[in-house]
Amino acid sequence: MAMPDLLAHALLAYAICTVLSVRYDWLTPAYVTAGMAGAFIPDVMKIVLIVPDAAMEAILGVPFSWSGIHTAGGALVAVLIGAAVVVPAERRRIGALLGVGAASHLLADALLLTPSGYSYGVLWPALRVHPPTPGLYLSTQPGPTVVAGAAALLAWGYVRRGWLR
Amino acid sequence: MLRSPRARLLAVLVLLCALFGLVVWHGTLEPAPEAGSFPGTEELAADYDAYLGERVTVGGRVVETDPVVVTAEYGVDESIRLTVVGLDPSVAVKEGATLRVFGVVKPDRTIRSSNAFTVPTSGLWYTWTVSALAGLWTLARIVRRFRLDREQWGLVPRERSVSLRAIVRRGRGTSGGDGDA
Repeated sequence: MAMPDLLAHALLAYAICTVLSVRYDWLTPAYVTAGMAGAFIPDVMKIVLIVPDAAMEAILGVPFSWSGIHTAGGALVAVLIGAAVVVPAERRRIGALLGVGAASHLLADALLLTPSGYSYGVLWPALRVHPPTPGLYLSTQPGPTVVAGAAALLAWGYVRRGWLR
Repeated sequence: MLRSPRARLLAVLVLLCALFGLVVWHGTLEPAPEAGSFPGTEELAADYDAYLGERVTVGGRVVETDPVVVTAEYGVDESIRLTVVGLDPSVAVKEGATLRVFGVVKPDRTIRSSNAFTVPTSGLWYTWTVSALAGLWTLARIVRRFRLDREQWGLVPRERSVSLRAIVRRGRGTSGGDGDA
């Protein structure tokens, strides 16, 4: 499964979280950064390129699929781990932002073009279904990154520099 | 709830076990075409004939263009050669490109394509380079905007961000005092 490059994901998370900071005073650039970090969570599954599923199964003797991380369930557990890694007072905010970042990644990937017209088990394990995808782009196309970059730039300009206000 | 470093460490370990459980569970999932989850290379490699007439999604590097043959990878460094027929003429098949196909399994390791597209090889390099840049950018932001609270064993947002240069200087032990007021 290919996916929009991680820069597109990070820029998208940056844009979303920066815009959210208009609504939430406490959402400083540090918290925006937490949102960006969350956007990387689902792609932890890319470890599969170094240690394939079959290799893990051979070593561990159990079924194994790294792409389980690239689902709502896997991302949720990973977000909870991230929340446990920050000091307790910051847990809820950082956890929420990691979740926003991870969710934006999963959603953006669900719009990728696939040969079958269906995406992946984005809502697993809650739902088994692979929803149909509008097939908007390929991960290897620069288009999504350019759009995400423009959104990030506009968000930065509006929120941090007061453009258009 | 769960405030002490030890309790949090335990929570992380429990969560890692949960993550492991999810990943193992995900490994047991069988294809479910009615749910939009189609069999792929791995299933074909295990028992090709069981999928005759079924729709599958495969992808592989183009090694021949007339007829179109791809090497589809699975497992650990294993691959099968599949012939792809019925491609739409608009699909630009070039040797070395990655072809992704959704189609029907035919005898003799042949897939009749319903829908397919190519991904140029350079596209994959682009994705990797740009993704690495994104990682570095985010890492730099984390280092500049968070600090490690040694008492609570956790990351804390800084009051004010620190420049990368200051962090490097601090790491080399050449700067005195605490930079993040």
